[in-house]
Amino acid sequence: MPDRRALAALVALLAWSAPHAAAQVDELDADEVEARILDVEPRILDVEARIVDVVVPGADRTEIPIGADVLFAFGSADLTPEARQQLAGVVDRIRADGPSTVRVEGHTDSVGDDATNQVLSERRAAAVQAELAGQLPGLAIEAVGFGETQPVAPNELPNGEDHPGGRQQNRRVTIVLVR
Amino acid sequence: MPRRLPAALVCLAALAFGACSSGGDDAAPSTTSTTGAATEEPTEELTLELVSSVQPSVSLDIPEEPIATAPAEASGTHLDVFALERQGDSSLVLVLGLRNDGDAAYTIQRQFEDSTLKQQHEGTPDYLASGITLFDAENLKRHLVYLDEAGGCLCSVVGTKSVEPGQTAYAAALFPAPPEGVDTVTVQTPVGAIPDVPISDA
Repeated sequence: MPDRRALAALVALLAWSAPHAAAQVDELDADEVEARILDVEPRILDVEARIVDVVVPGADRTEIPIGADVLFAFGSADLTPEARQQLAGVVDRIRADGPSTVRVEGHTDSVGDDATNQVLSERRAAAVQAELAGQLPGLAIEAVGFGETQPVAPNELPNGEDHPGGRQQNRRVTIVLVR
Repeated sequence: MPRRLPAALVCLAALAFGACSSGGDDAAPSTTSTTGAATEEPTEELTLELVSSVQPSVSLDIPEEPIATAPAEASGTHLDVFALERQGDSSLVLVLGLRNDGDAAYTIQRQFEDSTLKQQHEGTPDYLASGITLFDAENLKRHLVYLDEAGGCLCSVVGTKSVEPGQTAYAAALFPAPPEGVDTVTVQTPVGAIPDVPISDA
């Protein structure tokens, strides 16, 4: 037969995790319950670690979308001083995969007019093309811009509000490794 | 695959849950004070209201000067990183500020939110800092904010609030850590990115 202190600890633990058991605690000595709670093991919380692979493999091509904000200032087609470091993993991946050609695709969000975004996407693709070509001599690298015509997320919410998270996803440069 | 964090680590993470700003803030009450010792960088203590039921509120010391900064999308606004610390082997805590150096008030609403969370988990609050991610350029991985077992984001509420000129609004979030040896990551938000932010140990 369990002793009273062990039972108190069990009931205290139940009360901690299940409110419906709280009434049972009232029947026990409050000091005793409080003392036993100190002995309870720390609570463990389940969390989901979400780590997403940026590389999207395919049958005949592998895509590596990089956020434009990582490489460029807003509205600019000049690579930032940190851009080379940001592209280091891409260069390593290209070397490892050995593609026949690489295609650099520029995309923008919907802010601004179509013509401006088209030019911006082309210039950004060309800037990344030049950076990759400098590190990967001899590899055929193409550059193309799509402006805002190929969004991967809505630029606006259904109620018409701005959707900064969607626009962020749309501002991107995708490096395509063609086998 | 779910991980299990000990309560002590969750409490450390909870340091970053709340949201506040240094004045002009219509969100949770906050207190500030300078606590730095003479031989250390001065720090500012913030009392933050938490989203998670795990901890209702916490206090956090942050340096007065950010460890990294970059312009944000809106003219006159900047993103400042005040802390990016490993907590144990598995987590990073980020404390981010949006500083308004412009001439007009800047309203934060959904700028830091991952809107897909509301579709995946009914009851997810609005205006979370759930859209902040970390980009590991070396390993080509993107680290998203932890979700707890109920689908709750381990992050702070950021909006709705008006950030007056000269003020900073703070956000925080907890992420799975990159592998040992990765010393920097890029902090990405829907309104801009801060490249090559150094990771420190707690």
